[in-house]
Amino acid sequence: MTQGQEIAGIGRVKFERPPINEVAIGVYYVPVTELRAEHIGIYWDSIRKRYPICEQRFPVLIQSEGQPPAMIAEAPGEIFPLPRFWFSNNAHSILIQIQRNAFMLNWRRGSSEGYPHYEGVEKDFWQEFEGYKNFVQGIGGKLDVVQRCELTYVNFISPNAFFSSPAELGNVLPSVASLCKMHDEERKLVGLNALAAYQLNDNLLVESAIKWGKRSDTKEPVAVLELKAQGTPGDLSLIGAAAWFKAAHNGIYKLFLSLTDEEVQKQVWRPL
Amino acid sequence: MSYAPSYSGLLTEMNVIEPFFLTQAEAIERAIEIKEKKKLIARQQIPNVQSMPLNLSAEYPSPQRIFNAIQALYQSHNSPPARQIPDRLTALYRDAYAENQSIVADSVSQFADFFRNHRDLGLPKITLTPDGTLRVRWIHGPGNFTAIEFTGKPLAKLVAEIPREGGLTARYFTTEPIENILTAARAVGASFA
Repeated sequence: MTQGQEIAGIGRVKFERPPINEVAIGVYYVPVTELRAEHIGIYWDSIRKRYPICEQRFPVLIQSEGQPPAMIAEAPGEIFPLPRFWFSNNAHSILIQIQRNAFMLNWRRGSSEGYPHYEGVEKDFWQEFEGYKNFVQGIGGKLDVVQRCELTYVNFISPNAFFSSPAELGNVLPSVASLCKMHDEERKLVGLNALAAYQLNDNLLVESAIKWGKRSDTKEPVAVLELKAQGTPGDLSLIGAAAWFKAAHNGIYKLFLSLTDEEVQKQVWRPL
Repeated sequence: MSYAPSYSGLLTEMNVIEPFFLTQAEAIERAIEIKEKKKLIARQQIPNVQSMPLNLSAEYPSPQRIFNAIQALYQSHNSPPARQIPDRLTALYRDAYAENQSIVADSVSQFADFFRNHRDLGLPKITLTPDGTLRVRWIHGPGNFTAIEFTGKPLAKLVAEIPREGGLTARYFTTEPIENILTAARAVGASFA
């Protein structure tokens, strides 16, 4: 997946052909009540040369424990709730997502572009976030008091030299080997969804999901390894969020190495 | 930290996979059904397969509780002057965090509930006690103030100095259920302007 050739004392491994299909970085904060529908067009205009495509989506609702079911954040005097907006480039490889209480950036594998590695995606995230933050300040709001941070990696692992059928999936993802070995002539493994969550500290959880199925776009069989970190920076600040993302990235990196077979890492994804 | 895995809403639909065991006709129907269900999930917050609650910990994380209190105050105190209360609470919390000082989450929740229920009160001076609870003071002059300490328990502390005739000062130090504290304080002449 990610990681660097000997990054500043950490000694991470970067891969030449990581299986990453999508990376998403998101920050949720106190809803910006100053942000109204009319401002979205003004903001889009400021980034339109780079992100000419705009779409609307239903907002992502996150549930806080001890709170009533999450509702769409509305502002006084608003007739229709503000949706989530997608702004993407022509290649659809970078996607900015904005809703009243969140800013997210996704990197998606396109047909031609290579993975810029986490450092590149994170840089893009903070750069775009800074631009949006300045815009929000210009309308009298602020992107402050952070509720939650999320970092998600989706890895698509297609059949390779180490596995050609679901029964061999354990060769790549050893943690599900026992389930995959149940596949034989009498019973075929046709689906898998294994979820686990690991608490790294009070404010950081990493969730892993291993699934087996076929891609909805190409219909090819595929194993999906989704790694998602979520948590709240201890001081609820953006500076705290930056530190949180570093810890989250480190946690995801280590979990990826633990969940995947070392020989596959060496021979298929190939360390740089 | 408590855990409630959630649907990765910030991901795009390119990562959707389908199970193998469906026939093609079923798959088409299923795809339509999935699309409709997704809308429903988004609207009704019904957990899907990915969001099975594992409930790994019942502990309720303090930063999230503090955030909930701050957010509730921002929502109830939407005008710029009124926002000074959640702004101040945020600053106090961050200072305490930076100095590794404890802050009682129950006190913060009680403080937030109190000000959400009493939006007509004047802007008080808000401080953190050495015990990690929040104290608010309405200071009107020498020997003339009202203070409430949000203990986070049913009984809050009330301290007041109220000028009386002849240059005398009445001093009150008592505890009251948080629901009654304003009535009790006003009954002895305390002011929250």
